[in-house]
Amino acid sequence: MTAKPDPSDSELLQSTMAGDEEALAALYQRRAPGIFRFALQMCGSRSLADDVTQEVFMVLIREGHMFDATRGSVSSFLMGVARNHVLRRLRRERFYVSIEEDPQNETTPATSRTIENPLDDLSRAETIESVRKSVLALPERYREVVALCDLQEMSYAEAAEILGCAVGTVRSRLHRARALLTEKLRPEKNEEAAEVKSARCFA
Amino acid sequence: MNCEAFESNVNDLARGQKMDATVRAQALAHRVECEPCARLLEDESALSFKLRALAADTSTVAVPGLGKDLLIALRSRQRATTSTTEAATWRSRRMITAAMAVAAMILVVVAVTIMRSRLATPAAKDSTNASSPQSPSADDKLVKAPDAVTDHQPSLLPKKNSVFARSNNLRHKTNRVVLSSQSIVSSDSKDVTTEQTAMNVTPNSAPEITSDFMPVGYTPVASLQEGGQLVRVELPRSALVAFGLPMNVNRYDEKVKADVFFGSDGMARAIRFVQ
Repeated sequence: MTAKPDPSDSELLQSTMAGDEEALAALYQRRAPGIFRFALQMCGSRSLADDVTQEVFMVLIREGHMFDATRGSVSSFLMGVARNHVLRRLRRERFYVSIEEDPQNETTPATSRTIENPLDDLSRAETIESVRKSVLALPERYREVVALCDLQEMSYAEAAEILGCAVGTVRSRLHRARALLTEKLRPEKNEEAAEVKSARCFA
Repeated sequence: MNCEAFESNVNDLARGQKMDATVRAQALAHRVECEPCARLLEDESALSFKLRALAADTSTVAVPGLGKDLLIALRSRQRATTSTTEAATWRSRRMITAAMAVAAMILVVVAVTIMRSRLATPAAKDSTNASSPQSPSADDKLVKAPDAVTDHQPSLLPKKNSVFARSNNLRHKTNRVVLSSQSIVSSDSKDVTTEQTAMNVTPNSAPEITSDFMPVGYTPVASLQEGGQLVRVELPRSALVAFGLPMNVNRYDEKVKADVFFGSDGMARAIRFVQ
């Protein structure tokens, strides 16, 4: 007895458009994690990433018939919609000061913290947090490239398809983004070193 | 490989991306030779490591489940699509029904027009035949059968003079129009042959003997060209006397058949008696 192969994204989308709720659930289960993580890495807010994920699939339900398979994959279509929504939300909320989110909405997952090596875990968490802040501090055009290529581990071609630009553009933006990230992560070392240096001088 | 080329490839090298083996070997060789480039690669690798750690950390965040809003939206969309389809189907059905009704009305109108024109045509041909008696139509045979008997008189009401001189004309024709079997027997052989011809001309070949059409009242001939209808009726035998025809007194209580020609205005225009 041979196992039935999983339906492709396009087949699931067609079934969803025909009103199949199971197909929608399957497509959501397959593609929602990537969209959610991309939104979370782009905006740093779990609630906003939650909203974006729901909105993306709402758009899929409303305008899924407009999907053209010749122009790209369903995954790229969804990520493109997610990108547009994230950028829209970021521009809308640019003028608002975010309040501290409750522990449930923290972007740092509690599951990553172990109690076996608390010091290592603490330093690792600090490093991750500093990288996260550095990524969030990047301009949007560089942040989305880092999120797609480095954090989502997509190829240049996939990222170019989602962003709607050339592969060379993606490469150059990623190069520039990584340079910016290196610079952003370096001053902390310099600050630490300067503190230590001043301490020595003080001593 | 120089430092500039190394810098353009250091990202792919640090991220472990697929790249040309030759370029990769050259870049690694350059790293050994060039200390700044080695440091650059080290920094990039460290950055990649940190980013992977961030990605791994983010991947542990619980993804929200499929919300009810999405299912509700899907169901409402499905309902909307279904209702739109049904509405379109119902609209198309109504359109088809309306089109069929219009077509049926057009057909009825056309049929009525054709029937009217056909009814009007015999009258028009009658008037035409009045001027050209050589081409009688088949429709006129019933009406004109007596004409064959009566010296090929062309029209239903031959001439105005003959209408006004009704009694003389009828008396003149009485020898030829046979109203009883006795008169057929008593008439000469030529008349009998003529009568048989007239009988054969009738559409249903019924053994009927008819008189000429006689005008009822003083109707202008022009009004008869509008067409009309021939109706078979039964009249008391006294009607024969009214039109100047002889009547068998012994059969006064019997009825006599007659064809009454009604004009398009519904008025009786002419009559002929049938035996």
